[in-house]
Amino acid sequence: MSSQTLYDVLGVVPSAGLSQIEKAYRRALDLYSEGSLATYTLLDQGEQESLRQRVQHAYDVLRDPAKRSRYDEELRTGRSPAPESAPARTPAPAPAGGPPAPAPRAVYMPPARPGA
Amino acid sequence: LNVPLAAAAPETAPVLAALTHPRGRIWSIGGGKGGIGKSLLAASLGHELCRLGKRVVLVDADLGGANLHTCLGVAPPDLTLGDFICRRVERIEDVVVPTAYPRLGLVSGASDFLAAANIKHLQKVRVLNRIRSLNVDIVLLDLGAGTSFNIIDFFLASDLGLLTVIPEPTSIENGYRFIKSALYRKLRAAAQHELLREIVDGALDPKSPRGIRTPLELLAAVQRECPDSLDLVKREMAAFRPRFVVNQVRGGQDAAVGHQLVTACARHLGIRAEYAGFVHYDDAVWQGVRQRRLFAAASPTCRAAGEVAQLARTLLQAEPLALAW
Repeated sequence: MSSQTLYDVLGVVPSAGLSQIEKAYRRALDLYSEGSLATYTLLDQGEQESLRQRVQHAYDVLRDPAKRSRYDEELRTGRSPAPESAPARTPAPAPAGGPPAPAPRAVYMPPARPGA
Repeated sequence: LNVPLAAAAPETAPVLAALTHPRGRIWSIGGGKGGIGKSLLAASLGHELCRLGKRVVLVDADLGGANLHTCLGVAPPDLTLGDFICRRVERIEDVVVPTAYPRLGLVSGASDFLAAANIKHLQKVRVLNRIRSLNVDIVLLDLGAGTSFNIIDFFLASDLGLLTVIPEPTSIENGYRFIKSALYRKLRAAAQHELLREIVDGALDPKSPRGIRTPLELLAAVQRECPDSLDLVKREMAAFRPRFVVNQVRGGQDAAVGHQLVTACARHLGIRAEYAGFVHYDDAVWQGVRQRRLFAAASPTCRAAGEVAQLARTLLQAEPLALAW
């Protein structure tokens, strides 16, 4: 998961314009919304919440020209993004006295298609 | 064929005449859950393909629960798929019956032979081989509900597999179960290493020690424990491309579920599914069933009929028949 870029998170190419980013963001929010049909039985509540946070974070950075420029520079130079820019994954809350929350499920983000 | 499937469409007739062993394409319609409109979709899709000039045979492979004949307004035929399976009839062509629609034949599975639901491997192979040799353009298999090996094997043997869902959690849940069952069976069949078979078998039981819950987790387990098989697993996964059809859509959000399913499959299962199309909930559909008439023929201008027509065109573009030969 750590090798994913913010562009991967939204499923857009690095050259995507703002309108594409906004469209991808809205689609991702729909996909990971509570009550989403498409993720039913695929993701638990904690995984959905975590993905929503990652999508939100990606959007917050990529919609802001200054933040995006800094992020692109970090990608180019291979430097890690600032620690505060990557939200921690929120596991599913474990019931009191119950077993620990399951390990995060592997998530594959396919390469963005042209025009995505 | 001894049924009046009529002549092939003008553009395909010379090609067919020249072929020694013409081979049609097999399309299957599955979905995991019952009552989501698979049979009506199969019947109306077959009807539409015929209207587009293709010669089609519908095969009711819902063994033990067949009613495709009713969707088409055909009385339960004397000879059915069960007769072919039991070798009461030697040639599959002899159980193809005509329908009211030109170029559309039917192999009924009318439930006169419940044991057919448990056909043996060799019987299944014989059915698949014979339907593949039928002298038509497309054989459409209407699969039953569930994820039994028979259903999955028919789906996997198809050139094009449609996965019907309706925008309800129960259907989506069964759809994902169907996808995983089919993929794992495909991997099991391709596996050469015993260890790979063991990993795949473990994936079939999420409570097994490896705790594999998705194909992506299976891939990770293969990479870790059986790296020699990694390329094989990747190839099989890449070749597995179910196409979603969202049925009984009631609005734009429902229709969008198909796109979300494709994205969810790619991101969380590692499977490149496709979205073939959607069909709206339409009163004309159940009215047609009541009248035992195919809605696409009884109400050709209804919304659902138009969407099935669009679906047929989309699938034909995705599956150029000429490539089959």
